[in-house]
Amino acid sequence: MKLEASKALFFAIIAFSAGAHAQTQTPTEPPAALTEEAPAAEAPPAVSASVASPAPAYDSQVELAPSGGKPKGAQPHPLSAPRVIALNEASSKGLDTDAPAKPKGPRMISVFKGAVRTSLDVNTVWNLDDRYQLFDSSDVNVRLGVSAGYDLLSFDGGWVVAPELGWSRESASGGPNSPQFSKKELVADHFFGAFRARYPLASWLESFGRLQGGVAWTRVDLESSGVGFNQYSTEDKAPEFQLGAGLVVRTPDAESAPPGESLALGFTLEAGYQVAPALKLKLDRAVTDGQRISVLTSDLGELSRSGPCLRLGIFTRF
Amino acid sequence: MFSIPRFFSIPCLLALGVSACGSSGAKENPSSFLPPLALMDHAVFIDRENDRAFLLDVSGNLTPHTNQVRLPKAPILAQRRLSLDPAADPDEVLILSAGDLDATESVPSVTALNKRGEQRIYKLAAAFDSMVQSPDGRYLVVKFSQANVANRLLFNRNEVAIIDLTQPPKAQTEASEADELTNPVDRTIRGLGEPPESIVFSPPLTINGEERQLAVVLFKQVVALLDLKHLDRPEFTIELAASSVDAPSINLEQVLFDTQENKVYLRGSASPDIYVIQIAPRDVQNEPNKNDFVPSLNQLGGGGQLKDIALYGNAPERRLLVAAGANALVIDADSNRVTSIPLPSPATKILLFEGRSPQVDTRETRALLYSLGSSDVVFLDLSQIEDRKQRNAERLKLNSYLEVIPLKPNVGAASASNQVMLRHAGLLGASIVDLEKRTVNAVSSQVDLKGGTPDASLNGVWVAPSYQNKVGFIDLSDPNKIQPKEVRLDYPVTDLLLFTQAAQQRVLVTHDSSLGRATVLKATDLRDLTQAVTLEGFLLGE
Repeated sequence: MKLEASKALFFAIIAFSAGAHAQTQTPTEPPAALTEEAPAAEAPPAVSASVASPAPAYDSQVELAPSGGKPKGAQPHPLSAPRVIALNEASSKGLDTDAPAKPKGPRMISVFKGAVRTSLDVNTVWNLDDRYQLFDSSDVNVRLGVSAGYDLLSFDGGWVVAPELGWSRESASGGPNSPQFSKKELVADHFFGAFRARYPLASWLESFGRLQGGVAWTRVDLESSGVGFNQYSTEDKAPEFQLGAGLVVRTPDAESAPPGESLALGFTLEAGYQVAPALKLKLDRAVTDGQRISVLTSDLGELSRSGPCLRLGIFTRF
Repeated sequence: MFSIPRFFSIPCLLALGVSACGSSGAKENPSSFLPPLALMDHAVFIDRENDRAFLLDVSGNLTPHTNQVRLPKAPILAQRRLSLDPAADPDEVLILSAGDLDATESVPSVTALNKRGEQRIYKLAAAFDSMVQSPDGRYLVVKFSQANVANRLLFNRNEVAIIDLTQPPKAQTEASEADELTNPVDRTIRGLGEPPESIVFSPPLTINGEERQLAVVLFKQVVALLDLKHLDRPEFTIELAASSVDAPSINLEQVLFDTQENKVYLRGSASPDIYVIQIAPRDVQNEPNKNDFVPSLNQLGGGGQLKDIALYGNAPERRLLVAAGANALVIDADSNRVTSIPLPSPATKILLFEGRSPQVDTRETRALLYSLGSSDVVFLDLSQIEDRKQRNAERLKLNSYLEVIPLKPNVGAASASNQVMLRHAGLLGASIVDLEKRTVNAVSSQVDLKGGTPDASLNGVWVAPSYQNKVGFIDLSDPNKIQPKEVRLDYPVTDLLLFTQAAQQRVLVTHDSSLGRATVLKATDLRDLTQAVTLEGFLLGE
């Protein structure tokens, strides 16, 4: 099953790549690298059709969604050592054609003017622990959530580092194990922060690495069935970390547009691994009804919360 | 340009693929448990729906954690292995599993499970649904009941499997190589057209200088003798009465063994006679596969309906006491002389005991004769009864009783005495009858005391009425001071298990809970709730 899914993923990406390639063949020149400082100073890109200088040099797509691409015939400069500049430095400076050449060397101008990325995420974590069957017949736990990121740093060569904040929720109930429980529910809210470093591979494709850390607030509610009905409730807050890498497929050439003036749509596919302490599944009574005899309740063992994960996200970046 | 629907169809496709990647685990069925069993210091709970046993340790520090053991498919019946010496014999539970008709590797079996979770699995050739143990726990015969619980399409009711529990399982292939018998041994008992009703094991008999046990297979009017030490030899099938349409059936019910004279006494509910089988040795030196004994049949005329029989006395004073309703019969086992003793109250049951009487301060064999539903019991002094007849009978009147629970005296206890508990109907409680003093102590109760559990270790009776929140103990250790004690629990009672032979004498009371809930009490101080604890969740699977 997993192998078939992997194949499906592979073919889906290939198919998408082919389609995207067919559509992105129209531009005759590759878009200019946003981080190449010299072209930005020498030949600033147009922001809109009205400002664009040699109209034939750009295709219609560039006109509608201006990029940081250099004019046709411009010679690329050899790349120097990685430098840090503001993401929108080239574009904003490029509007002023009379501006003096920028000084050489990396520099950080502003961290608050990069692109903002909002994403709707589907994060799936494989629970390798059989105890998860208490809550779900599948060993895949799906978390739905949202996240927002900000392109904070850009490096020569195309690397962009973006911090993210997000939240996701997982919910599972009614697995096949321990049918003695009439209610078996696990709900967890995951609050996280992350750093994503991405690198453009093509106008529509990026690779990235991502490190996430956060807190999982997990609640487990169990109810025994039958005559001896009882409710048990467990709550746990624990740190968790994810390390992953993946690909971003997005609408082409949106990257170089000035922030706030273009809209890129895309989706991410990330594979990684989650590390988190195991969750102790205890039978803590939700209500104690004045027992005279002390009660020792069993525990259901520890549910491992570590495992491989796959994150899918649909995002907008503007 | 990218079209939006096409663009988002890709992640949707991926999401679908990912969600389909999860593999389902083995499904667990809703649990359904056989009645719990007590080993020396472990409680055993058998989940027949999920083929597993939970072993709960009730010694030492109590925890709600169990050792979970996988069992062969479809356990349908479980018994504690019997023992004449619990301290020396293995403490095991015997579990009969029906297997799975649809899975060739999952055959019917008997599992001997000890408290450490170790198992010996004896594979069976048929899906039997009934087990009978010898009193010493050595032999186990598995057979078909009338109910056919295993629900098989075809089965031979005369087929049995005989397991020697002191030996490991031995399959056909192993046995062929060693030229030995398999374990279990499969046999089909000849029945002259009728299926076996029950099986009774003899105590060890010395036949031809060799100690051995016999299995006596009872049919309605046929009996089969099987030498358990030589299962390669054929059984004897003895027809007690000619089979004919007109002849009434004997309906064999009861078997007694005379180990001194190698005799077997048989009683049928519909026969006025007692059948005696004499086991005599036979020389078969040249025919090793033939039985080295031969049975001979004799009949003792009792007359009337014989309800119960009991053997007492040593040879040559061996006597058979028969409860025959309004009379008791004393039959000389050698001369067949019958003495009829009119009883002051009709009796259908006999309880023999060794003890004194209010008149005679010597310990000798006496009998209590009673009839369930009656309001009388009759004491019968068996010494010189053939001469003294009804002068040896004494009637004791009390409330109508439905159950008689013999309370075995604690061996070696200074206050050892013979007592029985008679449970009365409804809310009348119980009567404790001192068999030596012939006195009665009435114990009143707010509930029906059905199912009292005698405790030889603490010399008393535990009472745990179902679905009541209370457990009681009637302490009989001092006949002059009978003190019922009780404790109120937090949950209604379903079962009571005694662990009073363990180092830490405890009582486990189970409660109705799908997760497993039980209260463990200190047996010697029931009311000390600081020593009590309720364990919860021990029946949850891993």
